[in-house]
Amino acid sequence: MDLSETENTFNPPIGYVVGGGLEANLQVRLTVPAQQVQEGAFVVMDSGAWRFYGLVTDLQLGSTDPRFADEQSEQRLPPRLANLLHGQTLFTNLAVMPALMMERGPEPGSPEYASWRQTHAEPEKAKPLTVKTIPSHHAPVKLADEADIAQIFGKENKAEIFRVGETREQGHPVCLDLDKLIQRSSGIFGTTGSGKSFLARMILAGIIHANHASTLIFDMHNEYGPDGTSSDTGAEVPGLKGKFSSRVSLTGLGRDTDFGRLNADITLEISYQDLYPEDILQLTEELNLKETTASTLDALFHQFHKDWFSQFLSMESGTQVEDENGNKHPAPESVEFWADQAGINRMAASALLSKLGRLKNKAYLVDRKESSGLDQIVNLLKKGEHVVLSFGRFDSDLDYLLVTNLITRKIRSAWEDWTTEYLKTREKAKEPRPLVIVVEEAHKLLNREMASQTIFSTIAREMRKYYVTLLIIDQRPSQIDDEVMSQLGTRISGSLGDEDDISAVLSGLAGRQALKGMLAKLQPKEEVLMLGWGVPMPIPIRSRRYDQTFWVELLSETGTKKNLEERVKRLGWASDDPE
Amino acid sequence: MEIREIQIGKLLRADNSHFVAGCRVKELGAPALGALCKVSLQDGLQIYGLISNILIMDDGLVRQLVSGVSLPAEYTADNRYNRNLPVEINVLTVGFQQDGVIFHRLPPRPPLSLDVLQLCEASEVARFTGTGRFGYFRHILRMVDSPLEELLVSHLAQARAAHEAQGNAQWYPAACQELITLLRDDYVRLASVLNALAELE
Amino acid sequence: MPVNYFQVENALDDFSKKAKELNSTLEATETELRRQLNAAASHTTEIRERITQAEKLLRTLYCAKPTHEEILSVHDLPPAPENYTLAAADGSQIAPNRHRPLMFCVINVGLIKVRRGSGLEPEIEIHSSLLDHELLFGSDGRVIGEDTVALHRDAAERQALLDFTGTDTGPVFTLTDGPLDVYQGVRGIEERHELLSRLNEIYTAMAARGVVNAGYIDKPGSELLSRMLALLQVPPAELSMWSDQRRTLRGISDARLLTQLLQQPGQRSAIFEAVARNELNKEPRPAVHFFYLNVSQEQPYLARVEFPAWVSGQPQLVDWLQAVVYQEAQVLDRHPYPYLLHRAHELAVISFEEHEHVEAMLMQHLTQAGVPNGMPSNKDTTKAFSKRRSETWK
Repeated sequence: MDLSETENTFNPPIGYVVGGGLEANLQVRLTVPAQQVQEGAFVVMDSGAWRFYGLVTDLQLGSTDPRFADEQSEQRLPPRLANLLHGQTLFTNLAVMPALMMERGPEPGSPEYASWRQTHAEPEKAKPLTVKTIPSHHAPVKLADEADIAQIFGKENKAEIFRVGETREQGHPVCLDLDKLIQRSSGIFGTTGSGKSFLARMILAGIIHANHASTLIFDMHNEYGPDGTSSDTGAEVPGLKGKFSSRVSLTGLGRDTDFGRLNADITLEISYQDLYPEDILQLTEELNLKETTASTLDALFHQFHKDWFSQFLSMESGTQVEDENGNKHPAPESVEFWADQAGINRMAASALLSKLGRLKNKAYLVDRKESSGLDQIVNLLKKGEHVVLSFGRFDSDLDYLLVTNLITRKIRSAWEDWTTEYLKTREKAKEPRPLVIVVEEAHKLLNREMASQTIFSTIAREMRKYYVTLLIIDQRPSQIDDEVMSQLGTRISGSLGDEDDISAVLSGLAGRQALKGMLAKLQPKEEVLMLGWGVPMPIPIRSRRYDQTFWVELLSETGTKKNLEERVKRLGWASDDPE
Repeated sequence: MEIREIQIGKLLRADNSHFVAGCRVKELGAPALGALCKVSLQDGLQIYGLISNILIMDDGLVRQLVSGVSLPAEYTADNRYNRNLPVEINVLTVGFQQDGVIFHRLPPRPPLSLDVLQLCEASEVARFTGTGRFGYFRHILRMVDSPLEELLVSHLAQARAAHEAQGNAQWYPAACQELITLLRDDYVRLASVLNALAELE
Repeated sequence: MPVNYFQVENALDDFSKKAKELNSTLEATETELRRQLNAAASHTTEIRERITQAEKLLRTLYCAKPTHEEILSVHDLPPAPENYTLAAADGSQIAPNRHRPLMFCVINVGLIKVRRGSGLEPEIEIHSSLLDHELLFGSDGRVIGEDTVALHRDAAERQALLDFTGTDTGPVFTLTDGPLDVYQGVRGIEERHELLSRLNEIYTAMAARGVVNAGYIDKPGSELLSRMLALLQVPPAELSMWSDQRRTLRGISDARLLTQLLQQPGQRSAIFEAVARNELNKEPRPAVHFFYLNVSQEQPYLARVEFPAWVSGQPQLVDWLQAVVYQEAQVLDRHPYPYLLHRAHELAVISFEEHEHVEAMLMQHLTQAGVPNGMPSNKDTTKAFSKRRSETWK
């Protein structure tokens, strides 16, 4: 993008820099009425050879003397004189959080320009950098125009540069680089009713449409796959299956999962033999398991291997036999008997058996040699397709925890092997397909108590090396483990009311204090704040509406498609990625 | 440019930033507070000033008459038109012109010989006040022990009329803006100036 | 040199004591004179006859003589005319001084005339004249003194007044400071005859035009009434041998005597004739009448107003004169004095700078004409040294 394009359009300054700094934000004296600028406005500042980009985080009224502010000059003085005070003795300052800077060089035709071009052969390819210096006093400040925004956030290409919304003041389009988004785990947050599900659908539609990654969506509330109805407006809400039909597979947990007019493409039934002790341990809180569970499970697996669950469930509890002396002993088929044999506390084993009985009745857990649908899911994802897993009537936390964990463990194993294989030869054709696992109600899986145990925290921490990342969707980010939150790259948040939730969304990010107020004041269902890895700088936007118009725009024409090699090169997803 | 002359007796005193001239009471209708006037030196230098104070001196007879019960109209006129009561005109130096160029800084030297104090016509008022960026305001704002608000208002009213006569309606708002900029850290002074300027609206 | 205050201080006690004694004497004198005046109050005709007789018998006589008004009559302030013309004149001079480089004489007359009721500012004129060389020296070759210069000045004042009021129509009043008969006490001056004649002509011309020319005497000290009363005490047989030097009741001015009588602002006394007889003076004298006038609104303050005798024959004019003089004195009401007289004085006065300026003009002109200038005397020069030093110290 040639910066000179931004010079040609009429975009008058709204103020000039008067103070501040990198840490404390820049102070900008406003030269237009305060109502023309909003918190969250994206502004540009030209100073010397640099263009700075920043975000308005506060507007403050000030006066050279408090008496000017106290006195109602509009009543005491004629209107013309009273108006002249504004901007002089009465003024508005903007607090601007500087985020990026880009070298634009000296003015063409100036003496310095020629020598600068010798070291900058292609100035039009300059990229914005994280801000490291500040503009000078009196540097003019303007609202970013469409070209400025495109310069930073990219221009929509109907592929990976995906338009998520527009700026709040002037409605300029703001894009999200989906390739960058999926490079790390990310999160979509917002209170109930803030529109995060619509937002998630929109972004997923973009990811699917761009076709640079596969998605596995744990659709707890049946919102993503089939068409639905808006609870607020009653309008029809298109589902991903309907729009992407062959590329999206609806998966039902257990038989008879209802998808309305649609049929399940896959029915998922999990064999007992696919249950491992760590799957049970992740249910510690849910099943109220004791500390002894781990050793009990360990002993079971050690003895029975993959049949441990089947074997354990077949044991009886409390059955006894009499010996010749009339003494009662645990019957051989009893769990107590086994416990004695294995050196496990009888009561611990018995208690565990009792608790695992809840799983016994789950229709999607089958005592067969192999699971049904599990490998199919993995294979579809490896092929580059998308799976929406609906939990149907199995909507308890227990089901959610068990199934998501188990599937994800499978995926992890598959992708680890895939990546290891790829790294041996580095043949492009064998490079693993990026996978995004979409997890709703993430605080149930990723809270502080669970985080160290579930596979999801591992994925959040480590798996991007293996081309697997999370997209978590949650309304209580404060309940998600801090370390997991810190691993999230991109965060897209609707309005949040809780102070802790706001702090959690901003944790680990520079300038979070300045953004706190902004988060709390977002318009529900309309505005979101994007920040973090996937966006060059934080920006509040009016999110795109997820409606029929959206689908028409998305599917009406294809943008520029980049091949895999080009894309990977751009993102630097080689194994020697410094991150 | 038509020159109107104020007859004065002699230059009383002068320094680089002020000068004081005298005239007779009869000529008092001509000079007004805040009016722009100039003195022409023999070497071609013209020094501009604003009339900052007009001092009508008294003497023993006037003091006696003032304290009287009533003074007949004829004797009031006698004191105004017949008696050579001195009137001192204090002038604040605000700039000078040399070789046709106007400067808003203090002249290199004060007036040395003062035969005639000239009241500037509207066109010259517009030319002087329209030069540069109101640099001469600083001389006015430097005044102490004088009602600078009244001087400012009187001067601005006259300058405004001079500019508007030439079709320039922007000078006055710009002048007000400049005053606010210069005084924005001095609440007391600025409030006083604005109150005075309000009367011009 | 500074005053020897120590010596002055030492004399203060004695001075106060004597002043006190004198005051007691004066109070007693005043008491007696009042008694005599009250006793004479109802004998105006007899008093007039006695004075007339004294005029015939005595070689010199200077005293008050009753006219047709009772001597102790009091006349309240009458209304002033709505419109009138009042002119005043005063003069000052530069007398010839042998100590100066140049001998010259300048007479400066200041004139001011107002048309009351018009609202217009008064007309002013200043007449400055250089006395001819032949008038600078007497027949004895000596340079003329201040007295002679004053005569010229007084004549100039009256002449100027006459010319100044030439076209005015009535009522017209003129005011000068001091007695009308300016040469009354003047002796032994050659110009006296000519100047007196001129004066009479001027007064006659004024009378012919009906112009009331008055003289204003502020804080009058004359004892005309006392002299008159003294004559009444002289036995008729001794009248021909009377001399004012034999008068014992001295020091009480007419104004002091009449203060208790004229308590109200604007009140005047009876009109008296100013008798001034000297057998050595052959020229006809202007007939002067006078009254005392209380010009103050607070404590009575009396001035003497003199006017030509013919005015007494027109009571309306007398009333107007009384009212006009009083009205004019109220302009400076805290210190009542006719405003126009003050202004005339202001116009006439020659400042020291002007004196030097005129001298410089003359010297320059004479030099150009080839006439050598003189030098100032050393006395005069050294005086200037002292003066300049004390001015510096100021």
